[in-house]
Amino acid sequence: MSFNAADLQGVLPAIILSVGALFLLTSEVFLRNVRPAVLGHAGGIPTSPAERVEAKLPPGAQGASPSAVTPPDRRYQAWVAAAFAALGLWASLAQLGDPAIAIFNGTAASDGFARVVAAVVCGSLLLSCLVAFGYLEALRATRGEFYALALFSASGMCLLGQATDLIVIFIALEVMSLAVYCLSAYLRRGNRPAEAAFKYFVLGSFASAIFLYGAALAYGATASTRLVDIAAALRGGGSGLLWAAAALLVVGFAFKVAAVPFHMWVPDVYDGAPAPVTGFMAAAVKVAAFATLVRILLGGFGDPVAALGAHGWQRLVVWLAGLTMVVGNLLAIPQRSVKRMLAYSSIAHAGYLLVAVAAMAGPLPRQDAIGGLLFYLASYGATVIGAFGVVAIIERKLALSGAGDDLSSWAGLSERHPALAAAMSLFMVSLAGIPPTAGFMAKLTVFRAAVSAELVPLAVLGVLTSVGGLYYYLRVVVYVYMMPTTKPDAVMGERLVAAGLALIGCAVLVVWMGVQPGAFASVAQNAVAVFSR
Amino acid sequence: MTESVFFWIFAVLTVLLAAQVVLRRNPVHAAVSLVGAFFFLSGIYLLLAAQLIAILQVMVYAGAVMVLFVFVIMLLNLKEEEMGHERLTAWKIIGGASIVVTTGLIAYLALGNAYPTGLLRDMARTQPGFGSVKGVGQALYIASVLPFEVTSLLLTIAVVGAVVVAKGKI
Amino acid sequence: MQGFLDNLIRHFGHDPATWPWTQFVYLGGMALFAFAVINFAAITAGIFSWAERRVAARMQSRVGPNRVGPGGFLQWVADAVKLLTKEDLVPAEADKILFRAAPYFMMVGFACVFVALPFSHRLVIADMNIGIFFIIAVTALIVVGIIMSGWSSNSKWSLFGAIRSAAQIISYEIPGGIALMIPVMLAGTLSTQGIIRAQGGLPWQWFVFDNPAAFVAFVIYFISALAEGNRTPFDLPEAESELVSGYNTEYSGMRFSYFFLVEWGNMWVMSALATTMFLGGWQIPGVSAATLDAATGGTAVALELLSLAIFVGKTLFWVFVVMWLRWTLPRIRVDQMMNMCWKYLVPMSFAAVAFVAVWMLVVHAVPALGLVMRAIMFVLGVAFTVFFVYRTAQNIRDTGDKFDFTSNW
Repeated sequence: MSFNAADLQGVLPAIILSVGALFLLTSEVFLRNVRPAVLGHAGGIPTSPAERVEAKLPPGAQGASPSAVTPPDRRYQAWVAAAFAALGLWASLAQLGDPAIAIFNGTAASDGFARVVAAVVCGSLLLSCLVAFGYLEALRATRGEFYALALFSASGMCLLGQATDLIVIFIALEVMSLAVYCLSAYLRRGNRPAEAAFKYFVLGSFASAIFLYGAALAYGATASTRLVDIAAALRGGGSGLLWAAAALLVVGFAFKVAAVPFHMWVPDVYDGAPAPVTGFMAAAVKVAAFATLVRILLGGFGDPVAALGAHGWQRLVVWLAGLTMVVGNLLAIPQRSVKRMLAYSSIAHAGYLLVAVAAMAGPLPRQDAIGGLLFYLASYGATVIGAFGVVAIIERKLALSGAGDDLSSWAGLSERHPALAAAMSLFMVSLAGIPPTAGFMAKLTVFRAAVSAELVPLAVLGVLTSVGGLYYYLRVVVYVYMMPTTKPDAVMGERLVAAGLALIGCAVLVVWMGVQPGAFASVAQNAVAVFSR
Repeated sequence: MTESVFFWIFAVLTVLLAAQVVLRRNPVHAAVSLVGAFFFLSGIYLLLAAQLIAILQVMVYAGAVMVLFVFVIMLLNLKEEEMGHERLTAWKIIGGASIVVTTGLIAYLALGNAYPTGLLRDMARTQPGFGSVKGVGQALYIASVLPFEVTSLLLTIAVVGAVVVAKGKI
Repeated sequence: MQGFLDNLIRHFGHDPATWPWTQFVYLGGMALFAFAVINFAAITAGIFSWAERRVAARMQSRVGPNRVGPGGFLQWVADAVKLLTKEDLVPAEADKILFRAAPYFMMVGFACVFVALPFSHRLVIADMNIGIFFIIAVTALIVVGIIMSGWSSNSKWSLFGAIRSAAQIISYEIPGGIALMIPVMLAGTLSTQGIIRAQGGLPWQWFVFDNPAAFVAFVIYFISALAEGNRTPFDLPEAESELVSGYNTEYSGMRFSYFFLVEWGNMWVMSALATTMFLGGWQIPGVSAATLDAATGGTAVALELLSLAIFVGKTLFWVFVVMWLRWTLPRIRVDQMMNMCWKYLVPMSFAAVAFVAVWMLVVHAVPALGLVMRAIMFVLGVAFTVFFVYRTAQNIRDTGDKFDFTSNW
């Protein structure tokens, strides 16, 4: 029971991300407002009272209007954040082959599963930072807090991926959620972002409370918050209290992953938050939440009795998955706002992911299901960040011109910006699950796992709803390529270096994962060894 | 014997005051009820031999946190008409019923078949230094050092986030 | 006090572990001690109300209350009788329940402190292992009482007073609490008696002279205690010239007197706490705590009384300093009050904690350094006191004033 360097090494990605956030926050202190350089100091506009006296201006003279002072150049921030994210990605990948160890007295684990989760989270953060760069610059909204909060939340997600103690899980969950609440409230032009953030906050806190209640009941039944102890207690015969705890824990995370019927917040929040944040939320929050769900269900309640028995959680997850797939896809169909459509589609994808979770309950094909889940999460992350990256570019045009988000503004995008149109189409095709994209391979692995776990009806339902999903995904493609331009909007005025990089990265990943899934599958296989018995 | 008498006094008062927090329409009354609930809850902690936690409960919650709550409520200072009138809606009946059912179910599960009686209390009795400053310190800084450190991360985020949200329009 | 009651039960020939009435004896004992403590607090506060008016009068070259009893000493009894017989008014628009309950919150928070405050070597109601935390915690109830009274009065003066008070007390609780952690670190315990035992009877054995940071902590604690007790120069919550009387504007009769009872009683609390934490408590110079423990019979009683006298003497000195400050310093502004707390006292208290932590390691490695530091600090303290007395005497001489403690009684 003493300080151990391996403990710190185990949480290296989280530490790197936190340090990055603190670095960005501190760097803000040293920024100074830049005065118009053309006029020089003598002709410049004094801002402080002392300078005002120096320049012999009468106190009433309104020289110092805030708009005359150029805000400091904050463009470095996105790149710094991206660099730290890349560092975190490197750290988690570098440790991938190391043996799995328990760290911090068993309150967390450093294993392949955690490292893959951390890698996906850091990758999502990297891409999101690049997407956010141009978006925030165009809206003149770059602040150090934005990237700091993103880094903080990613650090919470990395911790969530490796937490094996209900207390650590709860606190890391709050670290992630709190930062994401603030990010979704970041742009407050108009009422919608405020409403979104408020809904997210209230419902998210509610979900945390439910999770906490479940954790308290688990503690009451086993006198420990460690997942291993819960598993041990289950082997000695579960109690009613423990079943109630499992149900509450699942419900708490059902909120976070946006499973029906706990999905109400998703459309408003995804719609109201800035598009780069939405992409980050859809990709990374989902990864972390599913990772924790798997950790709790397999690490704590992985016993066949707890999973498949009369009170087992498999039945609960199957129902959640089925409902989520059906409702998510059905509600996405009538949406005309692309952002809202993507929000409902994210609910639908949560349903497919829950199919993988349900397939994990069985003892035999567990590896396939976990590997499939991780592969799905990574591919969905790459796709959805790309999709929201394109939305971000369109949205900031709209935000600056004051128009609403509607499919009609996408009409004829291929004429105005063929590269963007091609990227968007690729992401839509991947989300719909059409080969040769990542989305297809992901769905394939998940449904295959479901079939071998004897969840054939669920797999069939998944395929059917995917077919339904084709309609609304391909409608975007139709608008982009086949509809005539209604508004002769000029091509985006600025160069999209960072966002272009991010979109190219996403597109490459999407195609690569679709064509060569083996390379990623082996990484995922590395991760699942943790949960094999 | 005395212990269980005190337990029932504290428990009943805690639950009653906690219910008042939700049922009262006047926010100040609700906040003051919450102070009372915290206070009696700390009494229950004392009975569980966790003196330090009991005192921290009073110091942090009843003292600091609630004062800030009441402070904000007083600044808002809602008028009677702004609070609206009590109305009995179908949702309230459904909500009330589901609360009763859920609580009953959990109580039944907890007290009925499977609750390992006296598990936590035995832990308090058998572990030397349980609930003392030293015991809590060791639990906090050795056994649970990771959650403790992550909590500091959480608080940093809360401060940064509060500034972001409270700042002018970005 | 459980030990005392156990001995009592044994004295009557019963075994406290098995005797069925033990619990009731405990309850009776508790009630008795509670009664004694509340009376002590109330009577001290009453006497302080007289003392403060006499001191104030002295400082302003007035006479002060001198009609009731010798030197006006019984003035506080007369005041108490007057307040008890006054009508207890509740404003029509007030929140009646909270308005009535608020003074009791304050009284409870105030009286509970005395449970953990020591008086002498053996005289303490409960020597808890979390004594200091207990004192900080129950003091917080006073704030709740203040804001309840301010809000429920439904008067703008009361509300302003209460809001100011809440902001002030919450802010100053932080440096005050952290400053109190320094003696806790030095002594390695939270028990009030334990902290006194870790010090010694002679001034250089006190924590206040242990190292510079501890001295700073003492000053920070004292300032914070003044602010938490709403004493001048931090009496903004009841600033008469702006807020009529602050949070207690609408009160009358006995409920009104509770507020003042708490305020004056708080002077004892803050001074006794300063004595306990920094100034050696009841330690008798030249007599170690172990000797006190071992003493029996008449010696024990004598030493006990001596330790009581030492503790009360130190406490009363600081009570006098508090009064002295009140009639010397002007009230500060709200923004100054906040600035002072958050920009100076809080960082200073953090730095002091860090310094003491390092210093303890240094002293652990080189014990001689600790002795040298104590000696230097003590010499500096003495030098400062001598300088102060010299300057004061010089001022009095220059203005042609004279010491006069005999007339005007």
